[in-house]
Amino acid sequence: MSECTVSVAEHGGATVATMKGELTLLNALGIGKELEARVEHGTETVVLDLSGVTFLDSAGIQLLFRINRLVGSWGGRLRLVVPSSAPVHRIIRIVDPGGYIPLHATPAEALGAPTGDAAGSETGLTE
Amino acid sequence: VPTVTTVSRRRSYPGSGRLRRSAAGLALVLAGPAVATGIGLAIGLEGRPGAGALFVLAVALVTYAAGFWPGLAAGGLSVVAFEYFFVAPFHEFQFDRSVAVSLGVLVGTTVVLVALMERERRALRALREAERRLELTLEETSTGFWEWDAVEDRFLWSPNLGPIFGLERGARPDSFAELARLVHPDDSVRFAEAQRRILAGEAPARVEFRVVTPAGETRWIRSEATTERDDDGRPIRILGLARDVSLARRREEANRLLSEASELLGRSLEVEETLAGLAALVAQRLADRCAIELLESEHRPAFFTAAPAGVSKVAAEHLAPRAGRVAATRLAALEAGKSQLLTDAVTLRGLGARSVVVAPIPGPPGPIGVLTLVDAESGRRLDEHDRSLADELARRAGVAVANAQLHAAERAARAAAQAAADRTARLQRVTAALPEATTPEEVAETLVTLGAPAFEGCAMWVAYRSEDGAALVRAAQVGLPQEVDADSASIPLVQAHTPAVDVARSGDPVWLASAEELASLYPEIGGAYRELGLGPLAAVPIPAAGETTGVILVWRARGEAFSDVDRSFLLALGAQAGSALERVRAQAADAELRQGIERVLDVVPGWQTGSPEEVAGAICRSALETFGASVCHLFDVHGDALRVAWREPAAEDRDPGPEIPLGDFPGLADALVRLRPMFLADVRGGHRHAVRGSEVAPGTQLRSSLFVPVSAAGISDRVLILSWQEVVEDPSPARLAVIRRFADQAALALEQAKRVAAEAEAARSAERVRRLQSVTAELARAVSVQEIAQAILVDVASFGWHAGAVALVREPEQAMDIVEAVGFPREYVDRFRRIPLDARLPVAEAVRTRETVIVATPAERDERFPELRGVGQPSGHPIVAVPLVLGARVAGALDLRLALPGSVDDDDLALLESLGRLAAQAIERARLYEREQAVAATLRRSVLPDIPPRLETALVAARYLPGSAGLDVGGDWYDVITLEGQQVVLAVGDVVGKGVVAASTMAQLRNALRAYALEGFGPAALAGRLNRIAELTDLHFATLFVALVDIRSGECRFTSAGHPPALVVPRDGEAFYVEGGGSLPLGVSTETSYDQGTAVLDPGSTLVLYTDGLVENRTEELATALERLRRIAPDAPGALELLADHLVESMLAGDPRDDVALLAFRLLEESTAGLSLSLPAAQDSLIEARTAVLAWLDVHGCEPELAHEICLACWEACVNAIEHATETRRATIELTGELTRGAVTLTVRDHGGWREPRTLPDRGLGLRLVAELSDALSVKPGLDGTRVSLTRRLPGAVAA
Repeated sequence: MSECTVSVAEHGGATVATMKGELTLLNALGIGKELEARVEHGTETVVLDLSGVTFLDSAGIQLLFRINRLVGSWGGRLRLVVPSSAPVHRIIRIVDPGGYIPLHATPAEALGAPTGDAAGSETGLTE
Repeated sequence: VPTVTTVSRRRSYPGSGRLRRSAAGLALVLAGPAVATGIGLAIGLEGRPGAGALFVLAVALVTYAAGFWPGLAAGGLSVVAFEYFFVAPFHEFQFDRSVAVSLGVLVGTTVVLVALMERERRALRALREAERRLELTLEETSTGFWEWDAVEDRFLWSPNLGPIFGLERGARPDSFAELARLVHPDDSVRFAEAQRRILAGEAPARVEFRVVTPAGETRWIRSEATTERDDDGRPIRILGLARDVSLARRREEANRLLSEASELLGRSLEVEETLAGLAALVAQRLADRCAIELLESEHRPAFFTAAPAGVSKVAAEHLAPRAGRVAATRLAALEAGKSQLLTDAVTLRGLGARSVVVAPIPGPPGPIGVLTLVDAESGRRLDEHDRSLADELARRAGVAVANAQLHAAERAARAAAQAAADRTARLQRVTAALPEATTPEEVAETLVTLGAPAFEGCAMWVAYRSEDGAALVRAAQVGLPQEVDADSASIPLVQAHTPAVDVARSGDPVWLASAEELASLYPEIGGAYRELGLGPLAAVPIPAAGETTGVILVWRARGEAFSDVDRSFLLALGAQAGSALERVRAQAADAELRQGIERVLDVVPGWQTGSPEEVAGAICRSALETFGASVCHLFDVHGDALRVAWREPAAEDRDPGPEIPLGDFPGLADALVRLRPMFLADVRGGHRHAVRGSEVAPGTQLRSSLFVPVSAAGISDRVLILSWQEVVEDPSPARLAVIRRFADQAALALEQAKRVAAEAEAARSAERVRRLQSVTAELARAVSVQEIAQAILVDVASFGWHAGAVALVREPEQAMDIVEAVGFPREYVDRFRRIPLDARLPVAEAVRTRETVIVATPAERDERFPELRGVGQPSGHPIVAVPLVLGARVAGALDLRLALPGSVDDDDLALLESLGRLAAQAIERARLYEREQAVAATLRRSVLPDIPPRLETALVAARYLPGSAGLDVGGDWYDVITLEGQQVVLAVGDVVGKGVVAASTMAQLRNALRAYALEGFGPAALAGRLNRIAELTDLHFATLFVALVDIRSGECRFTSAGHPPALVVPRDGEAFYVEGGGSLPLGVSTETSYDQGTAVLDPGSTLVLYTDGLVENRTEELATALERLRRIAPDAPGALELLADHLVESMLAGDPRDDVALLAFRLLEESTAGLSLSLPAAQDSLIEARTAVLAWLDVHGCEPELAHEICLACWEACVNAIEHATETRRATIELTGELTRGAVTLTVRDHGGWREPRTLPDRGLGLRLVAELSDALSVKPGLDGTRVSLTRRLPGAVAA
């Protein structure tokens, strides 16, 4: 029941990982390994699209922090796509009130590209 | 002018010219026609009358047409022709032919002769007529005719020529020489030359010459002559006309004189000069002497000139007609305005004159002078011509004089106007030059160089008031002699008595007409000036900015005193100089300001980086450099007090010292409000507070201080104080402006530094929070006290600490031990390894007061905690001692040294205190854990019951608290037994005694109760049977409260064996104790019969069973405690778990002396059915728990988003519980949920110890999530596992 699908896309030197489902203690380890495996070392910008995540617990957040440290270890930058309407938005705000990891409304925004049609961008970025 | 010619005209008739020349010619003339006529007759007579007539006619025609000689030639040719063709045949007839020819010649000659003579007679008559007319004409025109026979040297004169030459009529000179004698001697040479030229026949002779008549008169004669010559060109005679042209000559002369006089008069406007010239001209040309005088009114002479030049004035006066007739004549001439001619020889003889003309010189109002002409006896007598000429000359002289006078007046006026204009122009030059001046010295220089000439001053002196106002200091001078200049360099205003000083003191000008006046008014200096040849003096003030700022002195060498115009100009000059001075000074101030500001801007870049302290230091150093003060302080303004933020030069001791009340500097508070600098020029004996900075040079004191508010946003929250050891002058406005600018820049820099520091602090703060989380995790992981202490101090520096130590209280000894220390010198740790609780040390005080102790400065440290003095320890680091507080207990204290100087802000404090609480909790837990490990490991399970059972519509909450007495396990117990048919047995008991024996007895009773209860015995029966068991086991006393509740009906039957009554807490309203059912304790007597009481529990109401530990304490009577319990029970939060916590905490205040057991049972209302789950302690249970919670919340209408958050909180709590549970044998977790009073309370309980599994770090994050997502959170570690209760309020209808 607690399941999460991860799709990873390359987008102009950036890696965009789109997650759907739940990210919890029950699958955090596996997903963490998957992400570590699929995010190439040295990727400058890593975007985790969490807009499709319906449930995120502290273990999931730990995972995010770990990924952030990982990306930061090679000087990259982790960006989270968490629109304010996302179920997990408040949770992330609670644990990261200072915006340690920047949040973005859309993958396009996270990539620093001009804000376009959100739906279109998403479609374009999803595998 | 008639011209003398020959008698007849040449063409009057042919041949006439010859007639008068020779008889031969005449004969020929007569012979020609006669011969022709004779030939013609002869021809005619010979029978050829036609041919003869034709011949005569032809000769006549030819003669008439072509002249005599051609006619004659024609006749001759005719005769020859006739001879050849006709005569030859007739030679025989010679006689006839000669008679005929002779007769013809005779007749022809006679006829022609008669005709000629008649003609001659007429011509002579006409000639005589013409001569008479000519004579008449000559007579009329006073023209004489003369003829000079050059050969005979004889004169032929017309009769009128004599009077022309002044001779008798008809008289004439006999010879040319005689004529020449008549000629004026001056003209004789010219006369002779004319004669020569006439005789030479060179030119048409025309000559004018003077003759002197026998009467002595000089006449001008004009003569023209023509010369007749013989065939050899020798002059035979000279014919001439002569005329007296004296009058014309005089008119001409007069005209020339007049025009020369006019030219002379017009040549110059110098009247006297031109009149003298006129007199000379007249004397040369018209009269022998001439005098011209101009008169003032009443004929007094104003000017006199006379000519010839040799005539002295006296002689001229003598000559002048001043007496007698002459005077009368002069008077008459003047009064009549008409000239007079006086020719009375007798009267004039005395004067040596023959005639006098007196002509008044007319002027616009009447005669203005007299022109007098005198001729000498030798000269020409003056006549009417001369009089009218003199009139004309006088008139012209009058015009000239009038012109000259007008001109002179105009010139004078123009000169005056020019002079005025020149002065104005010169003043304007001053005015124009003053704005060029850029310094006061240049102003003064401009004044003296341009001002002195403008006022015809020979010397000028400009002085300004000295800065202290005590003296006049010379700024510039011109023309003053050396000795005066030396004296006037500086004049003291108080002693000296000089015009300049008077002006400077009074502001009024001083005007002195002469050196004498100066000497009389200012005897001290007057004499000297007189000797120096200085004359009138003007002294005017230079007003500037409302005061006399200087003085201008102007001397004239001599002459006129300063006129009113001069004075007003001079005052204006002073005023102009004043305004120029003001401008120059303002510019100088402005320049100073600009330079100052540039200097400020130069140093500002040095303030751009660094901490606020570094920036403050840079500012103070800049201030010292820029303003040259001895000491510079930067104070922070804290309300009504000042606190040193920086001092430059910095003292070794950075102790800021105590705050200084604002009131200690009178006026400073006002200056701060107004943002105005305040200056204390001279504080006698030195500054009271600035002495703090006077270590610069020990023993010196600060005398002058400038307080400059430093304000970033209109509020002076700092003040910069520049202090000097000596007394300094008031700062100029420009300097003040610079200083204020400096302060503004300083404020900006400080704000900037503060902002940067705040940002850095915020970053640091975030870092600290992360550190705190990390420490939390470390703490959770730590098991022992030592581990906890190490965890707290693991990374001292990352918290911004310099050193830290953990000191824990050892209760029995009333002392603290340092269990861990980082960063302190060994000496310090050794010295304070054990600290008595009453020691004067920060940690001891923190423990005593339960408050954080902050010691910001070394001075404060030395004052409050003298024991710390001299102990080898880091100096200058603020000390913070944080008590480790858990509820009512203090586990110890953190002893910290902060890395940065300065005060500890609230954020730091909050962080430290939360760290303290975390540490306390961890230490408490560690201690509990240690105790648990030591003694209760085996007893726990037997003492404490299983979880409250799963019930549909009821909830149970239980609490067990070991007493503080120590490790001994008490005899309190509780149990809950679920029976079939929705019945439940609740029991609470207390076995008297402690320790393992009591515990085992309790276990027996509990087991027995369980067994009997399952058999279906009621409360009273149960009590009876337990009583018997107690007897059998030789039990100590034990009390028991047992209740049987029917969940469906709420009916409750109960029995109390010596136990406090149960409390009923209704859903609403006051709580009450159940009544009845009371008996003796167990084990007292086998005879005891046990009553049974009943009560009905309404849905929502709660039955609370408890042991006496809850209500027994040292300070309260039992009844009082019971009443308190009853009263506080309804105050509890809605959820049952929270009620249990509330009761325990309120009654015991965290310090149970004895064991306490509490059992709360609540019948739920159907609509708020509770949640109660027991799940395997495995991760798979999480999904089940979440599903159940979601469903339960959904039933109660909870919003999905809220439900999501509650779920997550519950999830995290479950994760925690599962992790705990995996370490224990009881691998279950219990989850209960209750909806009450508009809030959801979920309780998750495990049966493990509070111990963080090592597998996942940062378990603290989950707890933090739980806390954030809950309105209330209670985490209760206990012997029976950990219980987490979280409450979340529900909005809207659910709450109602």
